[in-house]
Amino acid sequence: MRTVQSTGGRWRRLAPVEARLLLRRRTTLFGLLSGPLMMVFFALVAGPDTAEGWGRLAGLAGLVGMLISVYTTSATVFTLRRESGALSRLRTTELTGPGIVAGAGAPLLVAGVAQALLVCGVYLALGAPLPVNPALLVAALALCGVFCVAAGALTATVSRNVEGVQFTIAPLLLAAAVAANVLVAGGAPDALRGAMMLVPGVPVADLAFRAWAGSGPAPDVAGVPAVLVGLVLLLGWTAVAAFGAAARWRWTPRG
Amino acid sequence: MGERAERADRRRGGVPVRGRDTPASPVVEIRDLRFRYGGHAAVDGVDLTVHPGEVFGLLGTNGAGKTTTLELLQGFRRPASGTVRMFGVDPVTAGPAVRRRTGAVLQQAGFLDELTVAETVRLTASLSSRTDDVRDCLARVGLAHRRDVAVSGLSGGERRRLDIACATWGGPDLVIMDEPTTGLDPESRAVLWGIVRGLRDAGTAVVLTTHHLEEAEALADRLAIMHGGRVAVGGTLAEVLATRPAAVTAELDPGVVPPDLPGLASAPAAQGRTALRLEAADLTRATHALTGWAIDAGARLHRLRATEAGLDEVFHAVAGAGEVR
Repeated sequence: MRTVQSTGGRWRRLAPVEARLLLRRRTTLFGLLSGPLMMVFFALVAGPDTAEGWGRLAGLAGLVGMLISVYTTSATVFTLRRESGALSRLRTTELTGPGIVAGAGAPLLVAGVAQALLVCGVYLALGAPLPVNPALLVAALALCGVFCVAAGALTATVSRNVEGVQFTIAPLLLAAAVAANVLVAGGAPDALRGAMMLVPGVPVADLAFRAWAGSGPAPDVAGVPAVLVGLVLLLGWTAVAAFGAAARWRWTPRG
Repeated sequence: MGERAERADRRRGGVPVRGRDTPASPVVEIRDLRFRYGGHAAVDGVDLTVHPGEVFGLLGTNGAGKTTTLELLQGFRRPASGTVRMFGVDPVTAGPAVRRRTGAVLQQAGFLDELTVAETVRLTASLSSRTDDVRDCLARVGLAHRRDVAVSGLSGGERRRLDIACATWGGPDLVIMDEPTTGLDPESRAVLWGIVRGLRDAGTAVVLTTHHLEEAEALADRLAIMHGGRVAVGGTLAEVLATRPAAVTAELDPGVVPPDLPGLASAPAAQGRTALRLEAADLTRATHALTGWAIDAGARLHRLRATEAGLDEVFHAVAGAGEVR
């Protein structure tokens, strides 16, 4: 047997292959592109003319767009890999379990965040003012990407096959879309807006809104600034999704 | 002596079963291994040892525990009790280190269908510490001319060959094959048999599960038949065959009364004849007893046969009656 010393971090060698596959498979390519296209479509239809309007759009479109492109694609890819036996196969390599998930999820995360930032550039080109807090915007979108990949992995654990993914993704998609609308639309009482922040992923809408416009719709909680509450909630849901996926993970179709 | 038993004895005495002939450390050592799915004991006290340069055949009915045993072997499941040692270490805690020396052919190949044949091997290479050459690797399994074809465009036999190319990348010390020839045509199966023999000759240990008994007979240096999560019978082919008695069978003309020989069973046969079956550990003496009686009695023995037990008989005995020994 001829060997070379392992350099570790082999998942980084899997990631480019997974990225190539995302582009070669029409269904995943369409899923990835549909999110940003929808974000641009929202901008063209809404045509906001104030910083708050662009913040509302960035919050809503950022969350829903990432859910559509990253969350649905993540759930689809992980389910497909498991049902086709690809996860089992990768497991026989020197990759660790977390390495396999990282290798498959990293391209989705990178593509999702890159798309979202690209769309932000399109917003600027359409006349949006510069975001008040670009760092918070990037952080919110990056965290949203991680949340979407983890939530997609968790959703894959309850999806029996690729066809079933369109049903298993629906609850989070619908709940987050409705809650984000209620949150950013304005007019809802503080208690209701606070409650909407508890829906998985929705804090991204407030954080992106806040990053672009300088203020956001979510109320402070017991003196804790809303931005901190949003970050903690988003991190919390990401952790719940990641631990849930790890606890329920199946490498093979039969379990 | 039957041809199969002769071949088994040749293998036992001629082709080195290295664990017996050399003191090489075992590649796989399993002791009193147990695993349960809920209340069902999938693996229930299994002991196995596989040595370098040995093909070990693992047989059994569906649900006998073969695949679960292989998963435990690779460290994909944690045993309820018992020990598994691969190259002397626990595969659960030393997974990547064990897989560095192991190749696997799974029941479901699980290729990324959008990749080409060469890209698939290159992906294997990028995830392995073992080194090899893509062109040589594909040539070994006869796929060099298909290197730029998408995996989705390969036939079943070609996909299996690609699977083997990936499993044998860089010459692992152990190759685990889970029903590798299921669904293959005879030509592809012959190619795979040649590859397995080549691996053994190169000193690689092979653990092979199969539903094809002739495959186990042709390839395995030692084998075990599992039933209900246990190894019901195991050893060299000769040792396994010896667990079932040999038999002399014949048919008597209508009206001829069968002899009174110990172990002789009779039953009605076609054309009014009487079918005889004489089971015995010593086939020569049994044949002599029956033919001696026929000569003395002036009886004619039709369809006279003296046969060693086949692996199929042992297998069916295990599957039907549980533990043989």
